[in-house]
Amino acid sequence: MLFLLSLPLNGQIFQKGLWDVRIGTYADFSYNHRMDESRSEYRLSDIYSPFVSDISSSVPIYASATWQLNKLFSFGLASVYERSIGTITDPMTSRQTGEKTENMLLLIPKAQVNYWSWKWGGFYGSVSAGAALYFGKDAGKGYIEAEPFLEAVPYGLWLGGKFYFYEETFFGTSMQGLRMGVGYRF
Amino acid sequence: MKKYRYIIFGAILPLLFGTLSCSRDYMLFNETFSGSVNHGNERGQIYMTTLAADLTIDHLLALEDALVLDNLGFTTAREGGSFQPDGNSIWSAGARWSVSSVESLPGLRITKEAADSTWTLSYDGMYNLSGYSFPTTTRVLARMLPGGNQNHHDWSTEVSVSRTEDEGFSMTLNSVNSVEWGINSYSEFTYYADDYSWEKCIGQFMMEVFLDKKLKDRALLTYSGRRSEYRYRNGL
Repeated sequence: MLFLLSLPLNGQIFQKGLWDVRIGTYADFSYNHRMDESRSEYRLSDIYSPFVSDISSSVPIYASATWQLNKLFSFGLASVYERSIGTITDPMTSRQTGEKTENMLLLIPKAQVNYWSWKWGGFYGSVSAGAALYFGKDAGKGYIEAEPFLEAVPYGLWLGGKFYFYEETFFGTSMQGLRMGVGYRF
Repeated sequence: MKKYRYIIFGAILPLLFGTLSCSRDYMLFNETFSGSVNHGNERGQIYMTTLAADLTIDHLLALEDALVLDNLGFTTAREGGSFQPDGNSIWSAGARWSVSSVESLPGLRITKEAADSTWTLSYDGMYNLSGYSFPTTTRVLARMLPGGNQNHHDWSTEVSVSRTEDEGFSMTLNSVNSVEWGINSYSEFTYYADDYSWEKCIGQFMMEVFLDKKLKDRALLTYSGRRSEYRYRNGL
């Protein structure tokens, strides 16, 4: 079970015609309670309490360029650099059992279909689905990501949510989640 | 151009008080929510089969070593080396041998109560199960059966084990009635059987796992012919 608290800070460099270029960063804090597959079969505490907790923080920096073909289709390219620092804790004893530091550089080509949108007053909403393939440090991992999102910007106040789902194609891991945010848009 | 906006880090400011994301890794979903009993089911059978077999066989090997020494006439402590006979043949009723330095069971005691072919083996020490040593107390009643080969006998055993591990875990392992161990019963395992193992196994073990002295799981291990043929059920 993964819980993620994300504090995004992003911005738009320019928007011209069909192009939209942005950079941004965000601070992610995650808590992952998971089964430790590396534990032994010859100790009862490993058999009956095989969980560990990962606590990590990361500050990814990303840049993206999106080209909107029309109201329906858009294509983009993004790169993300992420450095994560974390600890692994045994929940039974609360002892820290390990540390992890990860650096990740991702290149993400993205195709998106905006299949529903609406605008009313200061509100703007849309739902889109896309696919992205991640290349980077974990070469060989392929992700398929679908991210319907909803944004509303009444009087500059930004409310947004993104539901994401990805499939780690070669390793069989799938994940889905909900990311929601609120902020102020200039 | 109106649409040029050099607003860096502007679209969403630190006013933003956060986003919350929650996700579930579905590979682990069942593991996370199935509870500890199913964890026991997945891994407990490896623990239980290994402990039941290793521990029984370690006792039987020590007993058979003592029988070999006895057969050679070494019945005094000086003659016995790491085995300390009490001066009596191990076949004598009332014989009490101890074993100081058997690798797996240092301090093992072998006693014989009556003039039959049954010995009682008891051990109290740090038994090493595949790299994990914890305080372990055992009592094995071993009755020699007809059969076996030139190196090993067939045995009927009654086993009682208690083991205290770390983080509040402890366990007991008991044979249900008796468990029969046979040597050289399956030709394809002859090499291994001659080498160290009793491949034939018939009987049942019951294991109880405790956390902070409260029962956490109960498992039954049933051998129906050979050691590789078993049924394990936990959550009983």
